[in-house]
Amino acid sequence: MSDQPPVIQVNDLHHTFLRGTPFEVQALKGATLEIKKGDAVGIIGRTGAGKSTIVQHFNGLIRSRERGKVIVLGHDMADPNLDVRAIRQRVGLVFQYPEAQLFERLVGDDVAFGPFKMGLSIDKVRERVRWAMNMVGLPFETFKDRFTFSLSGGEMRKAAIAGVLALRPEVLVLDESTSGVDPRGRKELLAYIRRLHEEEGLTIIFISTNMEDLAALVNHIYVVADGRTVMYGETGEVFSKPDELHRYDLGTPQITEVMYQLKRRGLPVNDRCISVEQAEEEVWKILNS
Amino acid sequence: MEDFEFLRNVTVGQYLPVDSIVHRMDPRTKLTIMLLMVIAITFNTSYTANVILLVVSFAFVIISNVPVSYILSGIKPAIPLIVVLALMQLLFYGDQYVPTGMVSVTLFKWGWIHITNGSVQLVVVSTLRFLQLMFLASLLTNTSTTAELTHGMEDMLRPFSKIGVPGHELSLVFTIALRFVPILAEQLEIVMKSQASRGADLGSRSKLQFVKTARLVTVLVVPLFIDALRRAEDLILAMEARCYVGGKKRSHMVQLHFNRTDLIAIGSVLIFTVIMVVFQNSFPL
Repeated sequence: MSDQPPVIQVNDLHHTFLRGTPFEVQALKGATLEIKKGDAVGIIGRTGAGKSTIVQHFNGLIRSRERGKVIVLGHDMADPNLDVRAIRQRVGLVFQYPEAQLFERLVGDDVAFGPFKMGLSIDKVRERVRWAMNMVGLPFETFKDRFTFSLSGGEMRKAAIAGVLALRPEVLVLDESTSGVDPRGRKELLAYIRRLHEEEGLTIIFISTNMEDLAALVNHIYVVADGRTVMYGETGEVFSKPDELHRYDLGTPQITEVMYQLKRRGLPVNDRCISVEQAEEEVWKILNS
Repeated sequence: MEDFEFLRNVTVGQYLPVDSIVHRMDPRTKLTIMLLMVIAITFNTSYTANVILLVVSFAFVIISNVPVSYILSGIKPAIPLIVVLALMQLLFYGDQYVPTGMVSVTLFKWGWIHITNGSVQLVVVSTLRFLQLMFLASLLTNTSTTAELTHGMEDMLRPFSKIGVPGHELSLVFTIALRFVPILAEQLEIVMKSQASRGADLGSRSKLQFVKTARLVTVLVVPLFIDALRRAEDLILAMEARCYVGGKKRSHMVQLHFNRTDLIAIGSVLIFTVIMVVFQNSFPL
């Protein structure tokens, strides 16, 4: 992974919302990140830490004129002549409650909005819509002619994600896009995202407050606190420092916490377990030795 | 490049928590003063009177401690509208409008373009009026919380309930409308960002391409309406769950106090308005 070129480089980024008004909020005070091609990276931090502000710089929704540099796929985002729309096609961003973006009567038409706007031929648009819908588990033939607003909450969520995927982005950013769905729906979504990462080679950037989801999906984690990036490392490495995480009002997956406490009580276990399966192996090994 | 920051431009309706004599005033006083000023503004059409009114409105801004730059930034988005209106009035009014006590003088005539002293005055005075009203309206909401304003309004409408004016319901509608302005602005920002993220031409510096922008309206309006209706439904449920019935002599958290400052303020503005109305035709120019 480390020999891959970076797709996103952020250096000492600062950003203030509502600048020049009495409601000014300094959201970013020096965020530094580097995301490699083909990686799956998690961004965690408490509410208001600046996670969403950071990722909105990735596709040019926010282009800060303050300190710092953002380079996305080799383009300096501060360049006034940059074609931001081209970047937005290559870096797909899915928001929290993305179903709020649905507007077409039929699911297929809604998913087709992005590719259609790109000026592709009907056949190519159809091809992309088919791929995107199948990729999120909404079989094209079954769902393309369904009424958008008759879908269930989970299906709407999938349709909205398909709408972004239909742009065929190289980088997929999910800003808490799996929260607020029932447990089964969330598990399904996670599996589809993992498939996009593993089989289609998409670079995934995943913001979540659910540590189990993160442990199951991402290879690296950035911790953001008070507008700064404060921790970085491999998922297991970050989760092996619960005391530090607690300082930023964050936690670890429950299973990691259990292993950590067992080790503190003197059991010779590896406290870097981030999934139940790993922990099961560890405990089994100790019970047998 | 912060093309999606809307709250920045919505200064009307945004309470500014600073302290000043205007902030401490009774909302009923502020509403009355607003009404009196609107009367004075509507009656006066001369240059002099409108300059005086603008100075007075501006003086209110100064004593209210609201940053002048803040109020001015709220006017900025309205400038194109003002310019278009002014141009239309200047080009198409001709000699149809003659200020009272004046003789129509043609200043410029070329083809169908006919500019008279009357149309010039109309343009200047409407711009001044627009500024005065903008100052006053944003000042009213910048210095009073929604709760204060609605209680003030409800209280002032109470005498009319005898002839069937639903004061409480009206003020409730007013509160909800004001409360939803920032919420909908925020939601619009989210929807715009989501649509831009999936290929819509939003926020990519195409501000002058009106037609292109207009075509994108459904993309924004449909999701925004769905959200607004959903919120309305939630609000109804929440109110029903708490057995809300309008106007059943409920008590208020905010108690209104009318004191001497209020009396002096209303008194002086009343005298000012009476002078402005009575002597409206005596101002030079």
